[in-house]
Amino acid sequence: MGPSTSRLLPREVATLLVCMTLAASGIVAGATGASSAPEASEYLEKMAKAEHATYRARRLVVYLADPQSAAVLEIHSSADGTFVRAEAGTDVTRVWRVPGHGLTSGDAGSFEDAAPPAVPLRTDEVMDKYDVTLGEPTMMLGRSVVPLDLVRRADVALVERLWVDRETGIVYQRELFGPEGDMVGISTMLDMDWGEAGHTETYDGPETSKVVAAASADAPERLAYGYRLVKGYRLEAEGRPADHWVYSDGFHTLSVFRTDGDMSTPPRFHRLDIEGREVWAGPGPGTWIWEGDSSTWVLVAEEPQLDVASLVAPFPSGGPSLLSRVGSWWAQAWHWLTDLVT
Amino acid sequence: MNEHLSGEMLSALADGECDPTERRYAHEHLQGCPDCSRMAEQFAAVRGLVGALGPQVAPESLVVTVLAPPRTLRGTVAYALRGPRRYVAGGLTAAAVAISVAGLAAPPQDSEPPVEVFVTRHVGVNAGSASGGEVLFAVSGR
Repeated sequence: MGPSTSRLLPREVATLLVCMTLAASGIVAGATGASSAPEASEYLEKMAKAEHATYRARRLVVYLADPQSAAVLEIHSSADGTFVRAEAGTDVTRVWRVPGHGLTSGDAGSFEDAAPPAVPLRTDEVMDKYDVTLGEPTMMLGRSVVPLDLVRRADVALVERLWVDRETGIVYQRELFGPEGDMVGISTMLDMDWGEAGHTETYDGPETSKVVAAASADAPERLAYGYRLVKGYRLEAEGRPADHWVYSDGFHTLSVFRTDGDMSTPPRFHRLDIEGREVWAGPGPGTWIWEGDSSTWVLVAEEPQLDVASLVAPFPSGGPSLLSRVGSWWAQAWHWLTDLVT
Repeated sequence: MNEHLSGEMLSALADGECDPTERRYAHEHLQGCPDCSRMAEQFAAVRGLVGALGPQVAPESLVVTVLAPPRTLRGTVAYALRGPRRYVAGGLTAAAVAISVAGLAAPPQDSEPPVEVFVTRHVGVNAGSASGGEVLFAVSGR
């Protein structure tokens, strides 16, 4: 009896311990899963509301991959609108956004928009796309902030970590991660003044290029990674007419531009051979160009670790056909002839 | 005095197309109206001249052209290659081929896409505090 008891007791204890451990881990896991998701939603809701908060802040943005670069952002935010001034070396980009009007001015050009797209943060879409987990709160610039890890469900990749002010929902720090888990970009608050947006600049540059809302009937409604079409625009860039299709996944914005004509590869872009189609990747995050259907296409994305093959798949690809080249040449020859005659 | 007879009435009278009532009325008017009588004589004279013309015969080339069946593509080509026209047609064809070949041989009229402009436009569409485009501000010179 004794020996059997002595043999059985540890087994029972072990079984009990295993059961308790499993139960405890289940409770912990359940507790984490049950409470963190709603809590994450609450933080995302706070972030969405914070887009109209009144404050003045400066942020440092550093891109750690190739080419390493940095910018300082000055942000003036209020219920009336937002003004952002970004200085990266000698380049200055300024963005004004008020309801029903948007103006962007940079060294490359200035755009004025009478109907800027509404791309608000959509909590349900973010929660669908990402597994959002909360970390331990910490202090940042005297505020209690909590880290939100965004792990993309499709490929279980940690793409972003947001340090969110627990009270206001303002993002104090944003970290972007590469495929190896390495940090490729960081945007962190340098200082923050609550309650006052401060004096903003006024635009006094040359005449802006007007952006008009346009039909986007031939734009794909949905792209990979949950991006859905928000709005289409018609604009002119360096004398070339272009279509601009704005997509959103509820958190990030993605732009697809289509402009007429064939392209020559810009410097610093490198060629990728993606499933038989040629795509050129630009320096920095998320810029790709390719040719298709006698047009040049440019895709600009903010989200890290995107598989470009799946993103560009719905769009035409390939250089101009022989017939198209002959037609273009004849059109050019006709143009020269009429110039000569007139 | 009644009003003068209309041109239509005088023409119908000369052509014998008036009904008895109209004809009677016209004759009564003409007896008392020298102006209308003169006009009626002129209408009658013109009718006599037209009536004196003999039937006209259309030229044979016109008849052949009108009655000929529509020309087919082959017929058109054959027509173009007939006589001295063949040299003109051949020259134009050779010129078109030469221009097309030159166009294919020449480098295409490519241009660099305005990527930096597009990136600027992109960062302008979502510049809230939660914007993920912040890193794009930092990288320029594309």
